[in-house]
Amino acid sequence: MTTTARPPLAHNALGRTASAENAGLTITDHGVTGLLVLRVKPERVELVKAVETVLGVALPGALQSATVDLAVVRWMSPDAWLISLEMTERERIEAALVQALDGHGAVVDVSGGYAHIELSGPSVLEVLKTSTAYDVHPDNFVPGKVVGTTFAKATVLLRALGGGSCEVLVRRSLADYVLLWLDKATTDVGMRYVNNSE
Amino acid sequence: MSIDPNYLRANQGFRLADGGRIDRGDPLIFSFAGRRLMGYRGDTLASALLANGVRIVGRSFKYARPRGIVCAGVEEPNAILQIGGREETQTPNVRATEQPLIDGMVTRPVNGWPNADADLMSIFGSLGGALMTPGFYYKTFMFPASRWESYEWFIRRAAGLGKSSKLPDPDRYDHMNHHVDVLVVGAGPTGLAAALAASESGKRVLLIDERSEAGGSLLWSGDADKYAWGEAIDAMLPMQWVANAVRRLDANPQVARLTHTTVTGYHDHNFLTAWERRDDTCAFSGSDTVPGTRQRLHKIRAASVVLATGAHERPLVFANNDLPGCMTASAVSEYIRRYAVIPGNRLVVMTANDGGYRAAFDWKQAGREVVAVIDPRHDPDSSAIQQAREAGITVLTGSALVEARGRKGVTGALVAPINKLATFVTGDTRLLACDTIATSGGWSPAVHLSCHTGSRPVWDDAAIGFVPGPTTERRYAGGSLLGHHALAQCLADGTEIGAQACSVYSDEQREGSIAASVPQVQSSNTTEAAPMALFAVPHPKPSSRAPKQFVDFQNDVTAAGIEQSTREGFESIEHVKRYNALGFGTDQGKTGNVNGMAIVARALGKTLPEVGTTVFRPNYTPVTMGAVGGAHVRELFDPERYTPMHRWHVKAGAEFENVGQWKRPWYYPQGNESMSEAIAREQLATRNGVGILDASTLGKIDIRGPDAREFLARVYTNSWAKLAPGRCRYGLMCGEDGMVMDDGVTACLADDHFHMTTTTGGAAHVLSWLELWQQTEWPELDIFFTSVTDQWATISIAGPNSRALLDELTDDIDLSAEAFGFMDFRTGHVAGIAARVFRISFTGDLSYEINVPAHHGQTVWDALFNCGERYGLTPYGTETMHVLRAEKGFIIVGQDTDGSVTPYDLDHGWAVAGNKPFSFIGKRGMQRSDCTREERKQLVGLKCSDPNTVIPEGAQAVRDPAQPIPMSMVGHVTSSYYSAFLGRSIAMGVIKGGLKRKGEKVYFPLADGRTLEATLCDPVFLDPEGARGKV
Repeated sequence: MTTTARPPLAHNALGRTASAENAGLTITDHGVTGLLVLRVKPERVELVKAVETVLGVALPGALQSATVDLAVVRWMSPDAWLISLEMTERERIEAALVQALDGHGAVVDVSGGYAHIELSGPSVLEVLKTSTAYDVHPDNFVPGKVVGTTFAKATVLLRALGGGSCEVLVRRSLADYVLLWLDKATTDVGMRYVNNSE
Repeated sequence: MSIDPNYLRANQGFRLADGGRIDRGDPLIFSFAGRRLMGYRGDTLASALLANGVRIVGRSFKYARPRGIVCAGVEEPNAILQIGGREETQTPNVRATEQPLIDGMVTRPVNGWPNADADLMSIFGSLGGALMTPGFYYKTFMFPASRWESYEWFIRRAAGLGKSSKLPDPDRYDHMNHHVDVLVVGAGPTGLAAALAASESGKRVLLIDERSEAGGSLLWSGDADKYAWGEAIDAMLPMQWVANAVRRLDANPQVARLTHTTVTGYHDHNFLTAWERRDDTCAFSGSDTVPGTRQRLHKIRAASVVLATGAHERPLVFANNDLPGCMTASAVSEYIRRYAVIPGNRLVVMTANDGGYRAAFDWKQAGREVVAVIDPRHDPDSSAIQQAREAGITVLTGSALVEARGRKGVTGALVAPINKLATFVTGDTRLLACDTIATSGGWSPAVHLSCHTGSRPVWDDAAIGFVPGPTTERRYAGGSLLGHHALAQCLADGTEIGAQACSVYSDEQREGSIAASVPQVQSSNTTEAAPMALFAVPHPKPSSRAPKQFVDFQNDVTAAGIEQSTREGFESIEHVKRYNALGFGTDQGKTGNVNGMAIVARALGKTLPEVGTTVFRPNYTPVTMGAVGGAHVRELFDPERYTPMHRWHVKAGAEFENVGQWKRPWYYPQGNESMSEAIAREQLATRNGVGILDASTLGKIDIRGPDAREFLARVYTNSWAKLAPGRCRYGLMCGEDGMVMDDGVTACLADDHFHMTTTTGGAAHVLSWLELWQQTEWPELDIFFTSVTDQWATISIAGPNSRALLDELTDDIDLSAEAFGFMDFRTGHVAGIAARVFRISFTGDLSYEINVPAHHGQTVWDALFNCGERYGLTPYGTETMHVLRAEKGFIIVGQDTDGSVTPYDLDHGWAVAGNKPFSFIGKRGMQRSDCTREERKQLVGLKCSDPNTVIPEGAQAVRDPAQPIPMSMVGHVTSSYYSAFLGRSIAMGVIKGGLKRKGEKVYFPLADGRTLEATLCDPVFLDPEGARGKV
């Protein structure tokens, strides 16, 4: 593939200007990430096992994620996981998973369908508390925990990272809205945008 | 404005030389009704007004009587002011008693015409007041209805409470969510003790108080040496103990504390809302500084809730009790001790309990004259009374203050002996000269929050008030809220419920593990006399003859009015409340409700528990709309969804149309083109060359599994058994009622893999519809759905040149008509990007729909334009798309259907397969007799007799234009456009029995007086053989 991929937020005017010094919130834009939706019934043990062999890790349980060199696997629902990996690995792993599922279950490429950003900085907790009704207190939202919830009025997948940072996966069409929301939510503390999509 | 600050400082004639929790080094200048005044940091607006001798803060609602400040807290009925430095920040009905003073603040009364001091309406009030009986509005303005507009002008002029700005609010607001183990409402002694106890557990604790600082009633406590009735906690001055407690709480990372925050709603499952005033400086002073968040609405989900909301002092009801200068006893104490403001010079106290004596002690301590304390109890004995007598204060027991005298303020108090039950006057009255009257009828626990979830409060004789009733929530209450007003009891309650509130959490080892010990109180107030349950004070004349005895100040409800309404047959407290508007004001009757109920009880010969109380609902205090809206305003009011090519459309000058949350290009005007010119150009360019449409917003669902084909056959009306891989099919989706719900083209990628498209607006609903049926009805089907709407950028190119254009960009897809036919699907590469190409058409012309991953959408879009010029590639928007599809009679679900239209009504019977082995959703529904009867509204084409006239969409059809009104309507227009390609207007509509009436005429009488004539026809206006699309 020779042409340039356009990450969801690359065109956003905000991204070029938001670079406040000592910003309370830093938004790191990971650009286009390889993303696969995996659907398989957990009671189909042999299929789950085959999938886990491909991924090299057990499928995580409710609200959990699993991280290996190859990928991060996020639980989304009792029979759905979202797998992120390098774009260069996407096709190979997709094919291997399709083979492992043997015609039952689904592997769907959604790499183009999401914006993948990371929130860090001293104001993350406060920004999250103004944006989502989920309990993001560090006692509850421990690193590795994944939750599908509302973020302002968008649906997102949040994953707690270490050090108070947080990953946000939001549908591409709503990414601008989320960025605008974050911009307004950080009026007092400042926001910095880091393009990490190259 | 240059006004000598010394002059303003000196104007504070009612400010005490020392004391109070104010900062005399930080003077704040503000205006009230145009006057420049000074107060200090730490003042409320009310304390600053009193310091400057402002007695009249407004005029009453109905009688336009002068009104002054009565209370010092949230319960204040009168001192509600209009505040705002600029027109756009005008805020009505702000309680001056709660509002911290702000430098530059601009305030004025909410009513009074031309001003509160000299109100012309009071003339009407005193004349007309006699006529304004309970239920006045109900009785008077019912008839004749035609006069309402003239009544309204007068009522609004006379009775308005403040005004709101019509300009957009310039301030910022937001919401914040909290999840806590223990929420403590109220940071008085009970709440602080509870928070301290709860914080020992390491649990998450949130402590909220509406005042500017913690302490509650302790804020006007005093040094035991200096003030009579001083108390000490753990051998500390009360406010030292508070400061100590706050320090401990703030040092605990698991404890959060909010001040200036009112918990306004207690909802089911311990979900509470709280309204925080963060920074009203800009809004209220008119300064132009860029503000932070002005106000915040907190949404709190708590495992346990501790209510330590305290109590509100009840003023006594006596004649002329609304004269400025009449206050509650505790308010007098609070103004003196907390703000170093003394509201007058000569005080008369009337109290039915020992607590009211404090006002007399504080007044005397401040060096002013206490004329007398009037106590209705006969021979009470307590430390308070002994101390008062020792201090040389005249105490008149067995007496009552029956009437206040004065015109614009108190000048005297009429006192008389009363019987033991305080039901009648037993002797002559005497007049005591005074300028301030402090009364205490006891304390009404602030039960409001405890009632919001449906729990009814219960009357407690010992507390002489309603206390919280039983609840299903994990809710704990203590202190004054339970009628436990003694400080030692408050601290004991708080410590106990604070610990209990945590213990619901750990199942074991809770016993004794809370280390908090109860703070110990030292007090000089050793013996207390029982309080008397006195609400309305008797008068020598019956209440109907005596001067007005006010119960609800904000709505001018009087004791006589309440009694009259009981005589008129209103016996339920709920009826009395509504008939009199008792408790209907912005204060929700915090001072008046219990007195009103007591008067009802007296009139009906019932007890208070028999009368009962009315229902309390959120919100406890009014909340600004700004806080309710939060940050969800303006461009963030509703999310805007953008396609991957959105920026291109913006640059191309597109006008946008909202489709669901999506922004879709509507049309692309060039130069000074009008909308209709642009659409004509886009349409002709597409029909004659090639047009391009961004169709990325179409809902797209990836369907996989061995049973996918079977599932499709059940949710769509048509057959899917024989659709081969590489082929597409149009499908209609119906609800169980047989009505069309959605439509779209689904492609078969493999026997177990389909790509479904839905309408733009229906995508989310269709996906949940599919999941619903699969998960609940047919879990045995092995199939998965995944939304891929955002994954694919969808580019539709249409027109005779579309094949040649696409051919330039692909070398692995054979585009020839033989190899890639109509309704075929191919994978390959377009502009080097892996693509799914569907040869489907929503225009009737040769057309391809190119799907590529969204991040490559712009690349392919650009590539098409790079070689599109020689084919006349023209972008078109949704409006041209509508014209193009209407020429072909293609429907749009939601425009040509409205949830009452079956496939047969659309003449789409060809898309219904009645012989499928398994039934399909809607099959039974569309066979109901009503769905198969004659004369249903059916979709037909409509040709206006004047080809240049476009019939308005929504126009109602009649068969006989001469029929007198009401005419028999036989249907309406659903889609209507001017087709530049056909050179005439075209329309579709649903007309009764339309399918068999083609060729007949219908008429459209319009609102503007025209009547249009149209002929029913086939909805396919262009190329009925379908030749254009199959080249």
